[in-house]
Amino acid sequence: MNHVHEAHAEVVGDGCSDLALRNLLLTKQQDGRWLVKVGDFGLSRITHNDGDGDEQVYVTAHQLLLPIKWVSPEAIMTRHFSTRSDVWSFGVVLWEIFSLGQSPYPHMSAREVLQRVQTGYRMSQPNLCPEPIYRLMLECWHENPLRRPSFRGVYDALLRHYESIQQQQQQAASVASTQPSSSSIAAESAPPSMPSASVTTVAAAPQYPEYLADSESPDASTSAVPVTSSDSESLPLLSVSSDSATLPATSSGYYEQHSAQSTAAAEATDDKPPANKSLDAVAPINGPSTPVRSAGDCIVPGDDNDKYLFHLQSPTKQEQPQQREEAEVAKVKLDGLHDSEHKSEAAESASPIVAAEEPPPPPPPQQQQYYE
Amino acid sequence: MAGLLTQSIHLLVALKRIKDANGQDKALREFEAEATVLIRLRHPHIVTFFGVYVDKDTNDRYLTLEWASEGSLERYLRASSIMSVKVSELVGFALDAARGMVYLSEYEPPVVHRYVLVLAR
Repeated sequence: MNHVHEAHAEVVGDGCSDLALRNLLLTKQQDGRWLVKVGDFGLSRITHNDGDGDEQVYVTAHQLLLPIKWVSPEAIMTRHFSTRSDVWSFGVVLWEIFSLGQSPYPHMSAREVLQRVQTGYRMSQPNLCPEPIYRLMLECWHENPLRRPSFRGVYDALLRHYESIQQQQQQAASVASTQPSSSSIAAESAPPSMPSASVTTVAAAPQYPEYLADSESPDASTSAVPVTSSDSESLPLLSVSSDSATLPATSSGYYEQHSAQSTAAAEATDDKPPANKSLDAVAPINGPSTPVRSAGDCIVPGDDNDKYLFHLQSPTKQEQPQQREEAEVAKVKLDGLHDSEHKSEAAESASPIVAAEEPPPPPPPQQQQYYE
Repeated sequence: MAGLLTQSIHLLVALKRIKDANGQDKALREFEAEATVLIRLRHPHIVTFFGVYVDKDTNDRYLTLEWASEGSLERYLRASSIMSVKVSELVGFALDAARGMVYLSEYEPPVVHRYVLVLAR
């Protein structure tokens, strides 16, 4: 479907957009309102026109690590990333938000997810999720990328629902002010899919818990030092933390392994056009039945930091003499295929701690000279 | 002290380390590509990218990004109670993120310039 420009593919390199809840960040505005920002969206959101319609696509090189549970099936199989595959990821982000940060596809390994999603499985409606928003999720997860909404469409749908909720709340509030016993009325005007328990607390719920602002630092895996002028001479702006100050350990692990792998892949296959190769390598999306690739091609990294990731290898990739560390990881990967779910659970609790204990690299000496 | 205050910029930033590029062209290119993309993006719902810092001793490279004062949304949500959370608040979060994604998805034109911006080299 997509004609591929090799030059662009080369410039863009591999890497995929990493749209996931873990990459959404919270800031506080001066007026106290909270603001969500899309942060650290991974390498290269550069895309190019494929000359074949309105879709912008970028092509990855031969090898990459993908957060399987967030990536659309066609992007996994073809390694073409487009705005529409981002929309799929955004659907998963919606699910995460309305599941209060629960990991998507709970109790399923990345491998299972890949297989079942291709046969039509979709996550169920989170308890807190209003019906219209669940419908929006399902649209984002449409098998056909072109049938998914654009981000503009997603935004409009969310906005409509947001406004209707606010309207309902205002109505509920006005009714409540005239009528002392209003809980049943408030319940009726709330979105129908909400559990009644939470409906009655809608009006009375505290705006935000205070814990984030007061009791502890915002994120254990992050660091920032409010530098005052008196001690700012050597470090005026920055405090260096571990690999990614804004990211949980899971993501930073992704980037590191990613670049290491891709370099090896580049050596092995640099002389061939990446795009054609990747197209040849995978079954067509709309092919018969489910073109799940063989177990040898799909490796679930066992490394805790890579619990989200699936490692796709080029079928023709030669075995490279890897570093010893990598070989060990690979062994774990294979061993962990069947109980990767348990590993994921363990990683769930382990990674933040690891991140917190990991000593930040010492601040680069004479940092100031670069910032003056 | 007061004099110093007027000269200092108080700015919290987050650093994302790209591990030792080690002279590898490909790693360097990727890094440059990311920096080149990020530097052009300016939007309230996109984390602002300030520039690149290269540690000459270790050859590590850092992206300097806007510091998100309240941490990750994931962490906030996981600490929330299903009983007390407001659905409208959740929709608001989603709306914010969607706003940022609209900006990214409609960003034009997707031109690639290859250079690394080094802050005040």
